[in-house]
Formats: sequence, C-alpha cells, structure tokens
Amino acid sequence: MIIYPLLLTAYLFTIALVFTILAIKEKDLIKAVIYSAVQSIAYAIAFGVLLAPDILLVYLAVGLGIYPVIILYAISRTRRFEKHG
Amino acid sequence: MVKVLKILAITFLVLIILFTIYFVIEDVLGGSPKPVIRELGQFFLDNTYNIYYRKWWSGSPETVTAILWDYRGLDTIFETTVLYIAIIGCMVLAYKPLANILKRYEKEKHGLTLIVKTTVKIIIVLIAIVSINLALRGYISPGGGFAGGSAYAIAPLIVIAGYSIYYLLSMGYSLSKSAILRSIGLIVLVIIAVIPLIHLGYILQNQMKTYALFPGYPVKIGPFYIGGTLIFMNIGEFLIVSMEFIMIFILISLYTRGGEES
Repeated sequence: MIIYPLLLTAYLFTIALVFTILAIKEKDLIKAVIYSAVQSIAYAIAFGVLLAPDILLVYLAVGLGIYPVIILYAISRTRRFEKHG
Repeated sequence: MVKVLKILAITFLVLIILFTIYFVIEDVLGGSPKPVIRELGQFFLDNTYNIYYRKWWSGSPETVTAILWDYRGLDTIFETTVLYIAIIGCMVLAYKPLANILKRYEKEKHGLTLIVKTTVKIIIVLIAIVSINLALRGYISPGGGFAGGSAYAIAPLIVIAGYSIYYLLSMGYSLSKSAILRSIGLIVLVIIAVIPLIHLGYILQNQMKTYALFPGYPVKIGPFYIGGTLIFMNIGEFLIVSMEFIMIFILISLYTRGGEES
C-alpha cells in the first residue's frame, strides 16, 4: 500500500511546519537554530520515506552539520537575543 | 490574546493533518503519487543499466548518479562552477595571513573536556571512512561526490568545536593545501570531460553512442567494475566540495576569533 508511507510523510511535514513556526517565533537565536535543525531532521526522514536516499544523505550533512554551524558563526558576530521591535 | 492565538494555531495544525490524511486516502484534490511510473522514469529505468540494448545506457546501475554525471552532466558542471566562484569571492572578502595569528595562539590550550575530545577522535575517523565510502561507491549505491564531500567536511568542523581551530591547523589542514586539492579535483573533472572531445566524441561523453566516434570509457577494468566516467567524476567532486567547505570553516572560525581578540 502506498497510503502508509504518505501518512508518515504528512506527519513528518507537519512536524517540520511546527518547528519552522517555532524557529520564526523564537527570540533566542541559538534556540531558533536548533529548531531549524529539528525541522531538517524531519525533512531528511521524509526524504528517506519517499525512497530518495541520495537526497537524504546530502540533507543530513548539509541540514544538520554545515547549515547550523554557519548560522551559529553568523550569530556569534551579532547579538544572541532578538530585540522587541 | 496569546491563548486565543495558541488555540487557533493548534486547530489549524489539526485541520492540516486531517486534511492531508483525507487527501491521501480519498485522492480527490488534483494528482497524487500513484504506484505507476511515468514515462521519463520508465526511460531511465529501462536504459540506465540495460546490458542487452546499449544505445542509451550509461554503464551504472545507480540511476541518480547516472543522470547527474552522464545524462545531465553539464548541469552538474555548472553547479560546481558556481560553488567554485562563490568560494573565490569568500576568500577575497575574508582572507587574512595565517602566520601571525598562529604564532599568537600557539601556547594557548583551547577546547572542551577530555570526554568530548576522545569522542571527537573516534567520530572523525568514522566520518572520514563513511564519507570516502559514499564518494567512491557513488556509482553503485546511493551517495556520490556531493554527499560524500559535505559529509567529510563535518569531521574538521567537530574538531574545531571540540578542540580549536589551531589544533585543526596543526593537524595539517590549511587554506593553501585545501585550495590545491580542490584545483586537483577540478582538473580531474576537466580531463575526464575533454578526453572524448579529443577522440572525436562530444564533451562529457560516457559510453558509446551511435552519433559519436569515441568508443566510450571502460565499464570494467579487470575484475573491478568502475562504471565509466562516474567514479572519476565522483572523486573529483568529492575533492572539490569537501575542500571548499573546509576552506569556509577555517576562514569563518579564524575571522570570528580574530575579530573578538582585536
């Protein structure tokens, strides 16, 4: 049946949506990066469920390793907390 | 007000989940993935590794790598070029001579606790092995040059986090070595792409085609199956991508550190 993998994909994409909203709302930028990494995990598993292991491998390395670190370096050059504006 | 917004958000999410489930089961809104393969996918499945009818074959059972480096090879070459130029721009903006900085921090001890350092030592070996395996076996299993290269770049990254950038530089990584290695990777790509052109084929040709005179790269050398150009392309791409990411990490961490101290 093709329904069950698609249900799992829907669940994972909903989790990704939740964590994207959390990352946007969060004032502490380091927490926001971690939320964004969790969203990357959800996407990576969804790619695995959709039988795209090539994308899964690249997504794990870039979305969990390289992207958060570059953003963390960028944050270390400015303030950690977002000001209320 | 905040409570109302929270309730609204939760109802919205529950509605999305219910909607998706309904859509998946009933299949009423537009198209959904069907268990039928489309024409384009059927073409690649039929021809990528068809040893009985070799007119359109690419000599590799890994269809994704075959599309990336054979059927759509020029696209990937241009992507690699874009990355290469981006790194040159990064170097121009952030380069500073390393000698003075290194002398200043030589005696300092940086880094986290012994537990973290030991874990890092074990994990970087695992990452290196897995990533090189991903790149070298990219023509028969999922993976390939970009995946392997970006996975390899994680190893120096956690060394920077666990020890320090100066420990990484004393391990032998440096900007100039990385630049040389990535140029070697690019030269590998260029040589493999141009050889068929010299033998009256077309650029980036992999296997024999009826309209080109070049007989194609060997699919097997002795007992080893190498899949035409794909293994060389993966090795070249692995060198380029991993070394470029390592250059970025070295540059960024040195830049951050220097900014704080001065």
